[in-house]
Amino acid sequence: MWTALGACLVIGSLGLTGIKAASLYSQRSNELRSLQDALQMLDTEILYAATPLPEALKKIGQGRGNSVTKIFSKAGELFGEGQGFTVAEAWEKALQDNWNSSALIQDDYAILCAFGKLLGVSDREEQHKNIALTSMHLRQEEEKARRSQEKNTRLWQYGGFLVGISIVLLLL
Amino acid sequence: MRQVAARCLAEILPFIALSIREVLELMPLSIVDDLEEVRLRLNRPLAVRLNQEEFFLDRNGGTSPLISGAYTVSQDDLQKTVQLISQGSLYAFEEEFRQGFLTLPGGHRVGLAGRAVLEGGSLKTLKEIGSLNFRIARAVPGSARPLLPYVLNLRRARPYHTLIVSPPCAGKTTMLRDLVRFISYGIPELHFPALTVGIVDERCELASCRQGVPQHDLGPRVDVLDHCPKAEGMVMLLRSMAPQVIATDEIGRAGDVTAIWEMVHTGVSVLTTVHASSWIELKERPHLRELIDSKVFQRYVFLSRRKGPGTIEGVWDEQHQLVTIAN
Repeated sequence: MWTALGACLVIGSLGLTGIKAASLYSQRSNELRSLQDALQMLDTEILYAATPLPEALKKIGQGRGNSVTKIFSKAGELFGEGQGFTVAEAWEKALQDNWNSSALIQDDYAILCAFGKLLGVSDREEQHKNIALTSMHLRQEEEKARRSQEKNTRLWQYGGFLVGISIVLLLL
Repeated sequence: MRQVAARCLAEILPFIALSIREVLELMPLSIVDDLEEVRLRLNRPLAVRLNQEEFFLDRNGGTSPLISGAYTVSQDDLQKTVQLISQGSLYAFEEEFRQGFLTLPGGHRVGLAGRAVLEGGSLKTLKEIGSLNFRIARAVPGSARPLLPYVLNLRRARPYHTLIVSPPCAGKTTMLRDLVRFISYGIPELHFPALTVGIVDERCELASCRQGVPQHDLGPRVDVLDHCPKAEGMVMLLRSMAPQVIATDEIGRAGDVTAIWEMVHTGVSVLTTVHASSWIELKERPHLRELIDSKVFQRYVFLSRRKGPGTIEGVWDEQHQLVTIAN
């Protein structure tokens, strides 16, 4: 009976790990999509309403439940508190603070960091260009992520269980 | 007075980079009392203007006329300060950067200098900001009180058409602002009713609006047309807000003179200011001579810095007769 329980535990835990790994692919794609939507909102706030950044960032963070939009509200809070952060520093800190709870990868981090460096430091036209360029890069990453998701999701979902079963068979 | 000075400094500190903020916080209160400006110039010493004289600040908040030992303003200090004054949103302050200054809460102003970006021959904006000048605004409630019996026509319950004349930094805008405040609240002790005042604030100094809200107490009956050219603004306000009094700062262009001509013939009282330090200088100002000779203004208030900013040198009537003596 103990053997059967142990085998179930091994298969179950490795299976769940596989499912979790598979879900990270879809999570990343969704987060990249959410980031593009948030940037679109920011573009509207800057281009048409000229809303000051702390207010615009907080508004975007409040609007949607997705974890990556918290980066926007956190950056707005950090800068608005007057702790001596520049916008770029506040943005980078917000990125780091929310990084562990997201499925984004290093390439996404580099794109978002570059975006933060130019955030708020120029006129509306330049800001619009910065947002458009970042959105384009994120869209490319999203396409890559979707392809990778299609390719790998099933592999990880079943792979976890199969590895679990193989280990159990080897041990028996 | 000391409390007012400390409050004014506290109002501008959140808009200055932390490292400079720490230096300013160390300044002794006796210096804060006389503080008129804080100047940040890239790679040059941090300076303050006290009673019209410029001094450099060291790391401990001490003042000295010598450069050695002074705190040097870095690129990082300047960048952080520009971000703080513009809320990290240069795009939201494009017009202010084009004009070369922006207003902070409390009515304080920050003057900007840097590289001008031109478009079609006209100034589009400023980039690479190299100098910032924080000018501390101190409203002096009650400063216009000595003028009231002379510039108000108590019988008609209207102010006279008044021109406040003073050299730069002698308090003419402060005086006009306080006069507006009195008129907007009404003056019960003189049985003078409260009147509606329209302000055309082309230089954003009189009402010092920040995002549409006047940063000075101007009373409850004031409508402000912010950043609007005076000549167009006066006509616009007359049509849109039906003011009983129109106040505007620093007239001088031909268009301003024409607009004032129009205003005085519509039953609106005009209160305005001009740069000059004597009758001779005033009459030599182009375009203004015409207004003076035509006796458009019924009162001329001359100010100086003889006993500090806002010293009233006298009030003259349209016949150029002195109606009050100097204080």
